[in-house]
Amino acid sequence: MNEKAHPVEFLEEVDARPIEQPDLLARYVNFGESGPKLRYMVAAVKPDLPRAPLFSDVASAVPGELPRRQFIEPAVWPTPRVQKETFIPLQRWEGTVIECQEETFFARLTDLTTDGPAEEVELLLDDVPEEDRPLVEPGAVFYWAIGHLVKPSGERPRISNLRFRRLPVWSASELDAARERAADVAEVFGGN
Amino acid sequence: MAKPVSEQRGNGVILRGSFNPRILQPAWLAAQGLIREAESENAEIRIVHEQVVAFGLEWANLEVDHDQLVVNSTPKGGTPEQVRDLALGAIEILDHTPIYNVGLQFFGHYGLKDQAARDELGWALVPPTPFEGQLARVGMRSLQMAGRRSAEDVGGDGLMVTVEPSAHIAPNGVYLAVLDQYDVADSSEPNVGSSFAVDCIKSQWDPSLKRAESITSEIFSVI
Repeated sequence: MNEKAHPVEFLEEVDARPIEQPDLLARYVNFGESGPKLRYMVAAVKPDLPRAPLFSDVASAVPGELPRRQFIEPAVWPTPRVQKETFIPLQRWEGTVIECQEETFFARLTDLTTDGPAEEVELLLDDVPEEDRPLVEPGAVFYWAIGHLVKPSGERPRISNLRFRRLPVWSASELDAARERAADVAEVFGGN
Repeated sequence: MAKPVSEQRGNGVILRGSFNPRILQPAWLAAQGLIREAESENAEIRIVHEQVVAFGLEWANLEVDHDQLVVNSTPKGGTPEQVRDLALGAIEILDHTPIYNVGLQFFGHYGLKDQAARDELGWALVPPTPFEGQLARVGMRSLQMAGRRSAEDVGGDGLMVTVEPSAHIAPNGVYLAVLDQYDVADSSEPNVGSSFAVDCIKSQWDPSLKRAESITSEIFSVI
């Protein structure tokens, strides 16, 4: 087997570059700076040349011709890319829709930033992103954050980020379990 | 406690099990109602391969391969619950997907008032004395501590805390992350499905978030 050629271009952060037909060599999770991210060691292989040995093939490589690099994990973690805009929340709430009207809806808000009493508010439907408007109905849950959008220019406009919770519809078994729990609660309070 | 003068928060959900990357793509998430159609259309596709799929939305990144799914927030993300709901929604629909481990990570970049405050924190956590004979201008570059939540924890259950200089808040920022890990099923059992992971995320979210807040306050209290 001819393992002399090294037709492999090693790329460490595939999410930064487009690759055609990548070959996955190794993977690791970087729990560093920008949160948990999968990182991939990939090789873009030229089709007419043999592939360089993988780490597991080192023992069978041509003597004296070890691969240029052995891939388990890098010696130095790649520096994360710094995002250009950052949202810094000042206040976060979880809301539940109580009542809908033509142009507004009433909701009960629970403060997610600090412990505090729930409060009721009236919000404009115009503040809800268009694709979320069909989700606005009594009982629907949404998350609302107010904060600064920090731009590279240094501008810090205050913005509001309102997003309705999107979860799968309840399954039959979940509904049965909920009914069972409701029946238990009803029994405690003397219901039928 | 040296109160940080600014901060950026984020979070992530890490699931280990057996996944099919070909399914977990933006169009599928939109079809299931888990993200908006417009978000699917504008998703930044980083890689789509039969072994790996990675893409970014404005508020979250999703990366999946055959044995791991990671959803984490972006700096423009709104609330941590959005990330939780995206991961939760996907695995609730894919209820036959075996998931063995759940990781809930909460992290932040905290700006301290000056370099002296950051040095003080590093030296309080890792005293420089053992290194001073060999290294000049010694400083703490990265610290990871692992431990159990309680004496009852077994296997992969436990916590990992990371403290590093921040790459997002310059020049005096500190990155601090708390990863809460749970073994939810025996990895030798192929038919576990996702229900244990779903239950774990639903029941442990609030305690995990509070624990991360408490650990963060405790760490900053050393200076």
